[in-house]
Amino acid sequence: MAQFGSFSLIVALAAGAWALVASALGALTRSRSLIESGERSSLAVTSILAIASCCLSYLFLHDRFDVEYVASYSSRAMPTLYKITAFWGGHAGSLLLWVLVLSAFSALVILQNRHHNRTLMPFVVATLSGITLFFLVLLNYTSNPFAQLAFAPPDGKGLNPQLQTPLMAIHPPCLYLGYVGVSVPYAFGMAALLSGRVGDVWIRTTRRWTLFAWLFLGIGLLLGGYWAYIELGWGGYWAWDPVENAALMPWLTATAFLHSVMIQEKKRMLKIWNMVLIILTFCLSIFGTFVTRSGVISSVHAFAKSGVGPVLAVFLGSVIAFSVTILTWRLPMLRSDGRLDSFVSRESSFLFNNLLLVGICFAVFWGTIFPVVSEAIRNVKITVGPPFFNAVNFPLSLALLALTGICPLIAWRRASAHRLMRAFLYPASGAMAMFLLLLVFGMRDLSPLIAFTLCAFVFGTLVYEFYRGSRARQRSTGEPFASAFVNLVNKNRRRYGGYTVHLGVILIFTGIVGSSFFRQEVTASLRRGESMIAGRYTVRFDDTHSASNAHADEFTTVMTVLQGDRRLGTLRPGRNFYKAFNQPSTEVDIYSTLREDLYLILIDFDPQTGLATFKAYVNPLVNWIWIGWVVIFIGTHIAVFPDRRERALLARARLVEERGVA
Amino acid sequence: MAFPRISPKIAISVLLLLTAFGVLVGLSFRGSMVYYLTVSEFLSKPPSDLDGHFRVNGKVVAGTIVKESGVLGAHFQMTDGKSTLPVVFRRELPDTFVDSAEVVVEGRMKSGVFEAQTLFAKCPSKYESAQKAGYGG
Repeated sequence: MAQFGSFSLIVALAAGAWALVASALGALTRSRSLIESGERSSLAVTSILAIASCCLSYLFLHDRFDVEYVASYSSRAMPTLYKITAFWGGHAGSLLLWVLVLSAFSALVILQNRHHNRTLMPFVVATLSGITLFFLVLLNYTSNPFAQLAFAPPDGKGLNPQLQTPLMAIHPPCLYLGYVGVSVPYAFGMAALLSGRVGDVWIRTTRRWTLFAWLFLGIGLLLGGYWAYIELGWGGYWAWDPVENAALMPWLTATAFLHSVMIQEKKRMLKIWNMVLIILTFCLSIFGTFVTRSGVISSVHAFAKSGVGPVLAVFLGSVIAFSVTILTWRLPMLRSDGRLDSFVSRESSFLFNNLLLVGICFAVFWGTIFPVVSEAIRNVKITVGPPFFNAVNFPLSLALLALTGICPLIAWRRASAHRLMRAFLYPASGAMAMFLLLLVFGMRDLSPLIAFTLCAFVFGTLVYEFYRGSRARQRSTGEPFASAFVNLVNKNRRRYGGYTVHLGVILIFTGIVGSSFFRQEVTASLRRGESMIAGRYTVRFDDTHSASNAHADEFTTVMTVLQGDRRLGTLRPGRNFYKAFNQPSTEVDIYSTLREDLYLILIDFDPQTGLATFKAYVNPLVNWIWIGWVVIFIGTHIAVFPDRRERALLARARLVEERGVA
Repeated sequence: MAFPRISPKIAISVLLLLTAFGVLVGLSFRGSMVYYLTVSEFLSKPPSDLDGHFRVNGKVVAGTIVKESGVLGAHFQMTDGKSTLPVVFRRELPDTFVDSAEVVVEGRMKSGVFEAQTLFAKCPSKYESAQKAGYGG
């Protein structure tokens, strides 16, 4: 089976190479048979990679420890679920997953566009095949998941217990759906440049792909943060670790892209900027793969150096060189039709939104790669930690938040002072009320005061927008308010879906501010029956339990959570010792409410003295971060399905393009 | 020109924004720069500036971890294969902190001992190098 897997990778490589050559030649000569041959071999690559992936899963499920990759990430005792997900537990399998997803996306693009975008498609297929080919080369020559050992060990090493949670099982695939999904709009962007059809067809065609990739990058970030929060036991969810930053950066530029394409669609401006953004987003998702896998930038995740680093760097270099070259070549075609003339207009607020997002991305990038840069230039490694990222990104995010509120209130082109005043009245008074309320309740710290006030302001503008729209519709159609509201959203899915996403962003922001500025921590050593005070809670250490099985010694404490005399519940923080990994594992327990989390860990237990050391964190508002992501998820679903007007615009843009070809 | 023609007001505010951004990044950067060194680099000649605050990486020398009952953290020796540095850390230890784990500590020297304020031990998700050593024969 392992040989068969290896063999299928070689076949995929050959088919992938042909897909690239045939599509590129087909695009240049406009030979229909070559173009179709390219598309067919691209589909063939998908099937072959599906077979290879089945092979790898088969090897995992049958405990074939003569395969090095299986021996490294699986063991006999592991539950079946984790034998399946161990597929992407390591480097080689992750690469296979990457390329499998990419080729599946290519297949979907080909099937979707059998009768559309026929000028763009050969270039799209060529670009996607080029990317696929690169990963197939890596799989065949540097990291083959089917590589066999000279002997078969009796049992495998097993997947790290911290990774054996459903969260970690789906976190990498989600992130990859995002990383890889970015390739599709990138390929269409390149195809638009190469074919010279630089209208907005490529943007409208890939809108759903971009949203999809953006959403999954976001879900990847969420799952990673949530996993860190409930598993790692340091009470936080984000540490500005290079691997986290690597996933954040493409998400930021993709966010900028999602906003600025609207300017191109509506005003035919920012065409170059959109190309730059999609190139940047694609490069950053390759860079993300590179940071995670190369070990160039040392991180707590510390992926082993696998020799992929230099190869990926060369690939990234070629992608940048290729993209920049054809962009420069087509620069004259990308002239703006409109003019950005008013300072107070929606166009300019989009421009500033983009600058801020890219600014945040740049700061994160700079902080992440600085150790490497300083080592290369001055031969000393200089790092910057979380203080840098927080200091830069907090004010930038506040500005971004303010724009989120201002933007929907001001009109396209030029806003009149009178209308602005009227639109600002309610949200601004709401924000003012929030500000005073917080002051009265004793909040004196300026940063969270400003942040919460801004959140209230943006919330106010969103409510106002939904209300104003529904009200206007109610007046013109005579529908009852509720159905006017539903129809309003349904007829303008993109706009109101976007507003819903903004609502989620405010919730996340509120959660981040609450849990960063108002977090409390307490450490205490207790004997049975003694209590500690954490925030509003009294936590009593009642009992201990020990259990032992083949994999682990498990030690659990029983803690009663009280508020005054009222019993709220029982928490069971503990420590497990996993034998195969010779390493303890902190088992967190959380008493969770919408107001705050009581986050409890057992640091140490001394069986001789019976003294247990606990650490408790009180994290205010932290759950709103996860709730905010759910709202974003819902909002994206509203926005992703095109409404009637959206479909009509795409059809018209296509018609214009096809006529141009004929 | 290919760029959108922009009114002077907008151009000026973009410039102002970029300047403010540059100042913000620069200031925050200076405030949080830390040298990142190996144990022997650190011991041979620590650079004198940046108020004596350093980040040092190495491996925990097996068998040197000393924990005291009722006191958080541990004493241990850290090495990069050439030199050894005594370290004390007085907060809760991460699970990954075990014998021979790769660690990164940040802090300063105090009477011959490195007092760490933060300690990262490398996440054990990847065992590829250890694996090679284990199955090498």
